[in-house]
Formats: sequence, C-alpha cells, structure tokens
Amino acid sequence: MSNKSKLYNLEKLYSIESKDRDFIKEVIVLFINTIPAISNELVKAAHEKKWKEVYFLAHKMKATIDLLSIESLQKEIRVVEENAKSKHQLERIFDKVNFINTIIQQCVKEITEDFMVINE
Amino acid sequence: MFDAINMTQEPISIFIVEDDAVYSKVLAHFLSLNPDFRLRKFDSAKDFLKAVHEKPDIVTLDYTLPDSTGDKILSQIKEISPDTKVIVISGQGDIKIAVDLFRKGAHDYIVKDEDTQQRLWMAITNIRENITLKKELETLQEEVQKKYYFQKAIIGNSDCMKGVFKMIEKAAGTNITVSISGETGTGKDLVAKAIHFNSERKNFPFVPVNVAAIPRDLLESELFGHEKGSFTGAIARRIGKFEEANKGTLFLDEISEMDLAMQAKVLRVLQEQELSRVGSNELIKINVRIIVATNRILLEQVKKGRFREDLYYRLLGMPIQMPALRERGNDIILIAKHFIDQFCNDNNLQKKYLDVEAKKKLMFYSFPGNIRELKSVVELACVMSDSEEIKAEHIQTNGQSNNVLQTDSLTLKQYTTKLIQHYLDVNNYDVLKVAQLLDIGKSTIYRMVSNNELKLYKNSDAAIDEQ
Repeated sequence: MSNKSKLYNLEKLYSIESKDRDFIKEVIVLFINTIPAISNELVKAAHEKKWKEVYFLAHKMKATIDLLSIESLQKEIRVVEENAKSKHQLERIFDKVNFINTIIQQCVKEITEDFMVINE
Repeated sequence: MFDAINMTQEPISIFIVEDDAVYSKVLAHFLSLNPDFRLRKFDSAKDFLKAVHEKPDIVTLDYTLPDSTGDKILSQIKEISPDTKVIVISGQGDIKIAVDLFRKGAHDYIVKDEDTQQRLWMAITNIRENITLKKELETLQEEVQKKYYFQKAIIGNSDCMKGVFKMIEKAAGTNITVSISGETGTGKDLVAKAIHFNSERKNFPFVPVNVAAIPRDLLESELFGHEKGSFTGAIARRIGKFEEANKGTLFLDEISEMDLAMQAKVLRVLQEQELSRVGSNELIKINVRIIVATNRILLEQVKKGRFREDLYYRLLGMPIQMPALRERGNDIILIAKHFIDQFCNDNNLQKKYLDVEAKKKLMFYSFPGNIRELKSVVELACVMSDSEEIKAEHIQTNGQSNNVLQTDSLTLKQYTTKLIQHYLDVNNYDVLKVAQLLDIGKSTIYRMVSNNELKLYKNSDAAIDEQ
C-alpha cells in the first residue's frame, strides 16, 4: 500500500503517536465526522458571499488538511483563507472551494475504505 | 510538608481552546503523554469563558475562534485569572498580532506548523518549571509564617504556658532585651524565634549563637567579626554575628557559659551600641535586639562571681521562665500527640493514638530532658507499636517514673498512704527521716501504722511473722 497514490498521508499522525492505534482511529473518526460538513458549509458560505465565514471555515480546515497531509489542498485552502480575509480576488474563491470540497469528499471516501482495511 | 522540594512536580491544569475538533484532539493527545497534565478541551470561547474562573495554570488558545478573537479572550483571561499563562496558537504568523498579544500578556505565540507540538511542549515545560518554583516558594513562605505563629509553634494550654504566651506577646511589641531561662529542652529557642518573628524586626535576620558551642578563643571574632590578618588563620575579613543581626535579633543561647573577659566586651557593645571588629579600630554602629537564654539560674552565677553583675542587669530585661515539662500537666499529651502526628506523617506511617495507660505513663514520668526527651520517647513508641494504638509497653522511659503513683485511680488518702509507704520502704523504715523528707509529723506516721494503714516491715517479713 503506497501512500503516494493517496490523497492523504498519515505519517504525521504516526509521528505523534506510533503505538496507540485507538488514538489514530479516533482522529480519523473525528475527521470523517466533522470535515465533510465544514467543507459543505465552506461552499455554501462562498456562494452566499459571506466572506468572513469563508475565512473562518478555511482557517479551521487548514490545520486538519496539514495534519493529514492532503497535499493537493494545502496551497488551495491558504489562498481561500487569505483572499476571503483580505477580500481580494474573491472570484477565485468559487472554483477553489468547489475543488476543495470535491477532494475532501473523495478523501473521506478513501480514508473510510482504508480505515476499514486497517480495522480488519 | 516538603513535597515541593522533592523532585515530584505537582500536576498542572491545561485548558485547550480550539474549535477544530481534529486539531484539538491531536493537541490533547500529544499533551496527555505527560500524565501530570490535567487537560480540558473547549471548542468555543463561550464555553471556555464559563470555566476560566477555575484558574487553569495554562491555556492554549486558538487565535481564530468562531465566536471571538484571541486578543479579546486573552484580555478576559488576564482579568479573571492573571496568573494563568496563555499560549496563543495561530494559523498564521503575523508579527503585528504577535506583538499586540505579547503586550496584552500572552506567554508565547506559536504558529500552527510542523513544529507546533514540539514548541508547545517546550513552552509548557518551561512554564511548568516556573509554576513549580513559584508554588515551592509560596509553600516555604507559608511554612515560615506558620512556624512562627507561635501559638501554633509552641503547643500548650497550661496556665504556666499561657503566662509565657502573654510575655512573648509583650516582648514582641517592644525592643526590650529578653532573658529566657529554663531547663534543657523546654523550648527556649522557640520562644526567642516567636518573639523575633512576631516583632517589627521579623524581616531582618534572626541570628542564633550558641555560646557554649564556640571555643572561647573564637567567640570574640565570631561575635564581632575580624579584619584580614588580625590573627593567625584570619585569611579574610569576616563580619560577626552582631553585625549579621543588624536590625534583627541576636539570640545568645547558653549565655552563662561566656567567660568574664568576653562578658566585659559584650557589655561594652550593648552599652555603646557600637563595636569594632577584631584587629580594627573602626567603630561600627549596630542596632540589634538581644535575647539571651540560659539553663542555669544566672543570679546564682552572679553570686558565685562567674557572671558579671552589671551585664546580668543589662541582660535581665524581661525575664521569661520556661516551665519544665513535668509542671505542664496535660500539655505533655498535647505535645506528644503533635510529635506522633508529625513523625507518622514524615515517615508515612498510619495515624497512631495513645491509649489510656500510655497517656498515664507519660503523665507520670518526670522528663528530665523535657520536650526534647518527650519527642524521642514518642518517636520510639511510634516505631515500636505495630498497630494504630500506642500502648504503655511501647513507651520506654529511663525508669525515673514515679511508679508509686502510676497506678489505677486512687483517692487522695490512698495516694498519701502509698506515697508514705514507698518512702518508708526505700528509707529502711526510718520514721523520723521519712517524716522530715515528706514534711509531716512523725506522729501522723505512727498513727497510720497503728491503724494498719502503713507497715513498718517488708511484705516478705510479714509472711514470716504470720507463720
């Protein structure tokens, strides 16, 4: 199982805790349970042009995206966060949030499958 | 009581304020690797602010929260709990925000990145060391204050001790010289400390000097100090005890052991309020309160010519006579209990109690070594007893106990009879001598003999008679 083809990478989590499988599981469950909703909210807020909310949500997702090393989003989420904060090039945000949301939902699907494998 | 000094660190409470559930989980997990960290998580400013009054030691604060911002919350924390250390964790490094936060009292500012956890760990470890040191300091300060809150440091409810307490209070209120006399082990040094630490001089040194413990030749330089080279071995300038105690209190224990030449020098210092170090002509002004203690009656020493009369009157000031332990009645039990609790506590033993017989044994022992002796007797008893009860057999005194009286409860008449019989037994039935010793009439003894209350022979003789 190579991590390179994956959207995410758990190395960082393992570097924090290499032995306690329950901890990894709990973090993953938290990720699956919270991130898709936040990501949906992000899209919604962007379309409603609630930029302050967009900023908060992007900011909130950033640390988790870093933690799970979802590389394809690390740059994108920062652009959304900064543009929403500075209200600069707001038109760029729409595409980006849609992209982010797609990747996140895919990532959740992937991680759920992998997680089932880990569990077995 | 010295837990703080041992290497065991107290647990510290850490509140994690972070709205991102995943990140919060990771932080909490990482910090929980240290079992001494008591962690609580909050995902909104609202919930957290409800709990701030619990005054956590450390708060890790996410700068961007949905319902408030880091700098607002920081100000609120500092208002409610100024001692709480706040580590702000922010999604982006913004120097302006950082400067502003530090100005508002943030302890640290950490950017969320690869090294966040390590840096947070370092920051918390540092804070923890500070907290431990601070708590240690507070414990010690309390300890010192408690120690010299004399009604607690000096245990006693007896009338004679109440008199002593009153004298301590009066002495503490003034600068009068105090002379404390009493048998060895009665707590003369405690009285001296109690006076000093309850007086206005308490923030200046309390310097005890045991005159008997310092060789005569060295006493002068010990008390007055010396200049470099003033005598063989004086390799450096040294200030003496009088100077060390400046503005504070000098406690001269066993003052009666001071030789006459030295007494003259001390008298001069006390009269002039100034001294010169050995080997120096320079006069140094001193402001010292003197407390002296002796276990001999100084006046007798004066009469015998061993103590200067003028110094005696100079030092007499307010005399405090420490009663011997055997005169203090129930105080013996109070003090014994205190030592038992202290000893068990210090040695991780279960709490122990004195049973009735043990109490009696203590009450009837004469304690020539006074409280010092009581302490060692009860400490040994704690070691000897295997259960929570300390029995009479565990109490090992030096046999000086007045065992005639140390029996079950008797009436006064029965006591009197027993006492006289004891004296007759040990004085070879010499009625005249016993009457003198006990200061009673010999006819009283003869009357009691004729009433068969007393016997003028040994019990074994009686057995022969009956045959």
